[in-house]
Amino acid sequence: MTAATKNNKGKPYSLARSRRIIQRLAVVGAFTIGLRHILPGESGVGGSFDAFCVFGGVETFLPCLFKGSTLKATNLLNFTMLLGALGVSLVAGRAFCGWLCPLGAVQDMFAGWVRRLSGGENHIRGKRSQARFPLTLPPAADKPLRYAKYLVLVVILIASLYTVYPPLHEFCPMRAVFSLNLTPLLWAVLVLFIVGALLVERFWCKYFCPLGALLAIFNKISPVRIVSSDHCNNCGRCDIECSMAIEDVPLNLNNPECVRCMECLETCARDGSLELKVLKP
Amino acid sequence: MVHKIMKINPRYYPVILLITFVLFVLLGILLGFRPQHGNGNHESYMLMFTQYAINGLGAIV
Repeated sequence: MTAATKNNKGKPYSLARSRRIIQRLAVVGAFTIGLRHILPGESGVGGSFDAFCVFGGVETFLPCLFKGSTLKATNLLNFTMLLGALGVSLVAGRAFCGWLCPLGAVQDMFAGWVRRLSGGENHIRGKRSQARFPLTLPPAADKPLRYAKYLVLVVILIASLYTVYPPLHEFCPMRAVFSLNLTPLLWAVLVLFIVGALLVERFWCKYFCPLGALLAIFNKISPVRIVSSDHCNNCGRCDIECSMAIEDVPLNLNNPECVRCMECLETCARDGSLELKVLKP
Repeated sequence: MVHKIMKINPRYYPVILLITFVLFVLLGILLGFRPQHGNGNHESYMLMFTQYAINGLGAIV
């Protein structure tokens, strides 16, 4: 495909650049919400930091349904945020993770920085970076660990029925990174999150993110998706670019791990091999 | 099952995502899931209705 088509001014259009801009806006937005709630006189305005958490809607859903009220520190606004993420997933699969999630954005930034700091550049289209970090875990560790996020999701859903605060509340990396109001436990989570993101690209998304586990289901049913064709010659360029380290990307375009970042589409050099399409039932 | 497929220009992809997100957030606000003051224990008529519906279905079954 050729996402780098030219616009009217002759400047090549880049999906990757658009994604980076949207991701940075998401990060700035998350920091703004965090900052607003530590400034004097601002803490009582609007919902708390937790009220904007997309996963908070998942955590408080079952208590709301069976007990009739939200968990402490959550808010009805959590359902609105969750609805936004589910809407995006319904249309385009796990694209929320790849484009709009501030935590995903931070991890992408860390991966870029650590590549440059460890003796390499980012991947130059079709050529693997020579950087030592981030690492790729061996399949024996990587494959079983990918299921951990589903386990985390199930445990949280069950635990939410028996807790007063959301189960992930004290361990939430979103709070650790963006809330700017850290407990000792959240400091520990922040350090682990940073170390994980520096060592393995999208460490949290791949292995532990319960929201990613929930949204992964939509990759199989969303109408907007990438479709490969016979033009593909399995050159492997898309495998190099994949931040979720999916193997044989053209054969696994609807893999639950795919965050629909569109880097594969962007890097593909063969016209018509990968195309963005809307499936009509 | 045979699917008819329609090609879309990748440059519209970010727009599709953003518009979808905004529309669903607006839908959430219209459904009554608005920001509220206080520390948890919020109730929603929408969720209460769902809860009654589930209880009612349970009773019928």
